Amino acid sequence: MLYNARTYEKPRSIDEARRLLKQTDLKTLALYDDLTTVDPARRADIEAAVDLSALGLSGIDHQGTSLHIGATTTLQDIADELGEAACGLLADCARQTAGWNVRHAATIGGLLTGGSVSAPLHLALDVLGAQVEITGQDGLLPLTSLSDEFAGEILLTVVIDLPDGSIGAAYEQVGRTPRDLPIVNAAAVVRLSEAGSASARVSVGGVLDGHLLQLDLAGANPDSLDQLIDDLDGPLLDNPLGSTEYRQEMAAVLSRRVLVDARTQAGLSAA
Amino acid sequence: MEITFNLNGTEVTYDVRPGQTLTSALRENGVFGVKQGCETGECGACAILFDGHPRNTCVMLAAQAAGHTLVTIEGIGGAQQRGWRGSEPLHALQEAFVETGAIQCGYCTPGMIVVAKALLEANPNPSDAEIREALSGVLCRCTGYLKPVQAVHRAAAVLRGEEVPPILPDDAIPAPPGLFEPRADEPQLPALAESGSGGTAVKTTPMPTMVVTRQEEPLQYVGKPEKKVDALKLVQGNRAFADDIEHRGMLVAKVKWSPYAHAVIKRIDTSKAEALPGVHAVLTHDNLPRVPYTTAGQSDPEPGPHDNYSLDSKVRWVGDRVAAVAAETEEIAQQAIDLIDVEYEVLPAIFDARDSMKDGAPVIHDEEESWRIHDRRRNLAEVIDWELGNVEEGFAQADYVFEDTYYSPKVQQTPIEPHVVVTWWDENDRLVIRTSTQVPFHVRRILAPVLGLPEKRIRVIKPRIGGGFGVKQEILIEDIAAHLTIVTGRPVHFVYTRAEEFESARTRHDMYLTMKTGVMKDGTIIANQLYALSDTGASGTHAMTVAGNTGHKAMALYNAPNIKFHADIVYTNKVPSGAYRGYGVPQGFWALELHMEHIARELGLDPLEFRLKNAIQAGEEHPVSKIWSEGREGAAEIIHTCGLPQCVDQGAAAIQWHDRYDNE
Repeated sequence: MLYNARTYEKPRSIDEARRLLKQTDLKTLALYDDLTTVDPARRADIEAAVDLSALGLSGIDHQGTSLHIGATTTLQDIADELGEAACGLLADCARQTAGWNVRHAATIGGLLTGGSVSAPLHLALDVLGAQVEITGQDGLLPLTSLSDEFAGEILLTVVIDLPDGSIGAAYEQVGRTPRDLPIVNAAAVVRLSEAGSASARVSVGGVLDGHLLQLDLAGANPDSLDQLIDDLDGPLLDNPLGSTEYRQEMAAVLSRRVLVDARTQAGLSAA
Repeated sequence: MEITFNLNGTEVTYDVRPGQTLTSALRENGVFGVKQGCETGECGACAILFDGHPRNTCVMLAAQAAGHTLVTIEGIGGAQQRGWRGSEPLHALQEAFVETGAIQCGYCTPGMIVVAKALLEANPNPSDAEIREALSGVLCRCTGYLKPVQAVHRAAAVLRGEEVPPILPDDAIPAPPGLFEPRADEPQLPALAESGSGGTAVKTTPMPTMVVTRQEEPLQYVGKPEKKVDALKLVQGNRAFADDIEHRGMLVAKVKWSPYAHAVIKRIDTSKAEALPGVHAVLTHDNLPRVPYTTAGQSDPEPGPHDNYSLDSKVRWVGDRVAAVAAETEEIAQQAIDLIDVEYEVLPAIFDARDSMKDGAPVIHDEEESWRIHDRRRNLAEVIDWELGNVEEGFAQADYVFEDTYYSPKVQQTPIEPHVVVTWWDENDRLVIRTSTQVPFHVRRILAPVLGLPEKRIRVIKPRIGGGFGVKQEILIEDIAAHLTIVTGRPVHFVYTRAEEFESARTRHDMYLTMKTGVMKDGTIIANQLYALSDTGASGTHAMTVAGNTGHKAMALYNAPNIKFHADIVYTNKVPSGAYRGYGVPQGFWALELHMEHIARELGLDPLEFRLKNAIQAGEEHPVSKIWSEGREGAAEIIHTCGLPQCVDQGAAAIQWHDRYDNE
């Protein structure tokens, strides 16, 4: 319930949607899907709901080596249609992010603008270097640039570059149960250039407070991981789900595991 | 605003509010098969088919349904037993849920069936894993998923046109091998045992150790599958639960909760809330009678402290009541709550039971009206103390003494159906309380003085409840709705949100448990002592009886000539504890079994043999029975049957214990 909501609008154009979202006299909410990703504590503030479902932003499009995912594409569509992309990483992580009935409502736009940064799909997008297209901005922006700075603007598309060549990808998490939210999770992507050189990115959730840990590894060497995680700087998460020590230990275990997995998938030796 | 959509094959138009959820709108329009469980999309009790896909309506705005096609449980399967019209067939899924017994409380059943329908339409022959994945968004706290998965398989077969056999006893989970055979070391029991104390002889005839007998003679019902008597209404999503009712002019109640763990309300200004159009009543401690009562649903005379007030001038935990409102809609009620201005004097608070009895600790119940508190100055709600034999002498005789402290945390009961109550005056001017309770008669008796009504003018209706697990063994929200009906004369509806369930309902008592045990070299326990420091939170509800059960059960399992139990049940500024499955026993056994395991491993004994060597057996007297009976006079009880050895055998076999233990 948005008990202070005075209006609900379902605009048919981007311009109309932007106009509604930029109303200065009302606190507005851009609805990419439903209220799943709207923090219950925030719901009291909302005075105007702007439903973006009629803007034609839903769909997955392959453009050359790029994957374009519309902001109101559901997680279920990603799970159904992207089983092959990035070794199945996007589909698997979409499935892991939410149960079946939530996946039919939750969208990639809702997840990226309101969901947890350590949601499995968010982690997958991060490790794949996804970029976003936002109204009022020129060109593509990195995923990490999504912030309150763009209040009133609309996330249009998520773009993932998947160039030809060998790629390996893997995801793992620890939680209280296999279907529960992750306490710590990690995803890795290993890419092999045509020249044969390897590079890797590992993204880890549930360790840093409010954002993901990103590790770029030239050579995709797992041996360099432990030190990087030991040397973490900045506010580290510590809550009843897991202590800082537990999270760091799991981060080391999971990141090594996903990197080894991704290396194998890319055709490299495990280590 | 008006929206039009297709509901179960019919175009309908609803008048909805901009911020109203689809669950709320459907239920306001009588579609009660859509249940409310969480408001956050996590439990799936509100699931429907939205354009053919399962979705949770509690996180959708009603306005988002415009132009779409919705199917609820009401649109699945035909009506039953309609007189001269007869019955129309149920959907295969509904039939299968009834036949397989896939329903317990039935609150999640509509959601499960709706989701399963979507699955079978997309995949007529799903695997076990696919069914579990589909059902994973619908939480069940009672039945679990074994039977629902079986039901979906069965329905899928029917929908594929296959014959399905009737469910026979042989389809049940087979008994483990050897279950029906007596153990070789079965003790020979005396034909007659005499026991008793204080001049009272208790004569008993102990039965042999429990052996489950194989059923040879065919019986009419026993050993055969039987359809649950109320399964039919539950698979159809009929109006079975407390919240499934409409009243003309019904108001909605909301409560303002304390943001402080311990504070005095210095000033409370309700004028803005009262002035809000649509608000019919605002209650505070200033305009309600101050009547101390217990919220624990227990028999008269209620054994616990009477330390609750419908509304008080002091708040004792984050989530304690400050004020209550009745308004035309949920939205107005919540807006009114926000308009209540409160000035608090914040007091020091206690968050750890180990601090409650310390010198200088803040006194949580310093009010004089509360009664049956053991020692309010020390925040001591109750004390239990008993001893059999002399444990100190036992420790002195023992070859080894082991002592450890264990902690059992707070847990919330989390029934999928939240607390809900509807109150109204009936044609005889009786106050009707329709509530999701486990204790309807206690509700009536305990609320009578609180409401200023004789019991005979209160009628409590307890419809089916969607899970309770002890948290509904409380008189928790009924008084608020009742007061509001008394003030307004109107029917009042009050339901907890999921957040309120966690912050303002009840939990399991968290306890620190210190065990001290004296053991002889041969593994015989000669003395056993348990000290329980039980955290009852800000109210002493079930304080004594829960902790009493901790000692009564845990200290009886491993019999010893010297046993002592002491419990201090203390107040803290945390959400009150209460009844929860097992009622104090899980806490005691948690400590006891960890302790026994520790002792066995320290002494190099097989943990199972060590336990069985000391465990109470059939024919023995329950050692605690004579001295403890929930604060009343005890009476000797003989353990007539005990299946523990067989249970241990089966468990050990199931986990290949003897292959694993002491096997590096």
